[in-house]
Amino acid sequence: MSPLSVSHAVLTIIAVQCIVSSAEYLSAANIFKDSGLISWKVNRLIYPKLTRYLQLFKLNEALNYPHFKKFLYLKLLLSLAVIFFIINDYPLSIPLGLLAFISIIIIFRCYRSNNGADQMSNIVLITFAICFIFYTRYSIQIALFFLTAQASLAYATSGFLKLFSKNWRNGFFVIEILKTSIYGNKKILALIKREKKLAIIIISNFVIYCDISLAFAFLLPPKYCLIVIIFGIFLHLGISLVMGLNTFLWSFGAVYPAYYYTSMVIYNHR
Amino acid sequence: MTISLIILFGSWWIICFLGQTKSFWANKLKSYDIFHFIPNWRFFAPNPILIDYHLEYRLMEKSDTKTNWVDPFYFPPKGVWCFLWYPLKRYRKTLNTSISKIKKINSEFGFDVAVNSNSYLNLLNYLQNLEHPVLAYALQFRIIAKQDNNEEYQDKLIFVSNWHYQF
Repeated sequence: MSPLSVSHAVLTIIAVQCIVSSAEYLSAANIFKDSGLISWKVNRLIYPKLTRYLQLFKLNEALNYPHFKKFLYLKLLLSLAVIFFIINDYPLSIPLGLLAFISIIIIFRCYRSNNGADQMSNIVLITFAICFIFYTRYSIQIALFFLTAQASLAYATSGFLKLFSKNWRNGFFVIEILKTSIYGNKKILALIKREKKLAIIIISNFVIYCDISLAFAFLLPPKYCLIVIIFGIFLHLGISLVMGLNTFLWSFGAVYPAYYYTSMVIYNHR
Repeated sequence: MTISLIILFGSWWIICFLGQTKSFWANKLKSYDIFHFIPNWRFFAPNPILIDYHLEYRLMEKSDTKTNWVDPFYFPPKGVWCFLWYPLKRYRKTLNTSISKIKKINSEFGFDVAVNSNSYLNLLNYLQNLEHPVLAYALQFRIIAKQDNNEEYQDKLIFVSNWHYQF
């Protein structure tokens, strides 16, 4: 397993995340209108100094609706281009660099609607955009190790903060989240309530220990690392189904090949 | 080259690690991070979102009568395909971010600062641009906390805006 093929696997999954994310934004493009919920007319007031520079280079207009839609279309096309370049084994630096640049602009413009999946996807793109400039075995390895460390930090932060919270351990928060419509689910709530307290505690602790196991999965031998990764996929699939956080499945799933690779390097299974 | 990459990514990781704390310096650092290079990996921990915020508005008509409160958003329950496709989450996240900010500023710095915040302006801009009857000349909005999937939950009034006369 070469670092290049692993990086291709990571980038293919991230490109899918970018396609889903930009297509979703395009289908909800009304949000970017001057009368919408993320109007640039109002949101640019947060950065008065920067806006002055943007105005200087006539970039304010580019971030306004409908021009901003061009960035979303561009992200969609560049993501497709990345997949096409990977399949045909073409050099990736240019489409990847452009995709990372466009993603940074979109993250900046949509700061009210971004989530952790967008942040992870951005980190993956920037990391590879930098490392693909040098395009050596070591530079790609560094990118894969960095992404492993970043995902490990994400899971450890989330897992340990939950572990130290009594209301997470006893399942109270799981029930309360399900009672909301933003991240909850009425059908699952009814199902869990019927199964009583034990089911709630099991689900809550599954989330906590899955997070913590994923944080350290790369330290395990490859075959055990793979088992934890499979649990991770089920965790994100469950979160997507129940909470509607669909892009997390792709952006965190993208880091799993890097996890597996790091485990292989640690245990000399190259 | 390898060493400079290790230094670059090593420093980035350390900054991200420090960014997960809620210390003064972490918050200061994040306030400059307009491109979100320092992620927030806390994901519903330790205190997740346990309420649905609802934005409602009412109008003042020429005869000085106030209309009933109206919720301009309707979010249908998540469908089976939400694990693949769920664009509505962008609306919900945006609304939630703006409301959470107003709530936080209101409790930390008071009402006068909250009504001058960008999040307040953002919601006001959205509501003022909705199609309203010609006779309406002023608008007020409020924020209600509910649990949409819990009928026993007692709705809570979180915030009531000023009346705004310009349309």
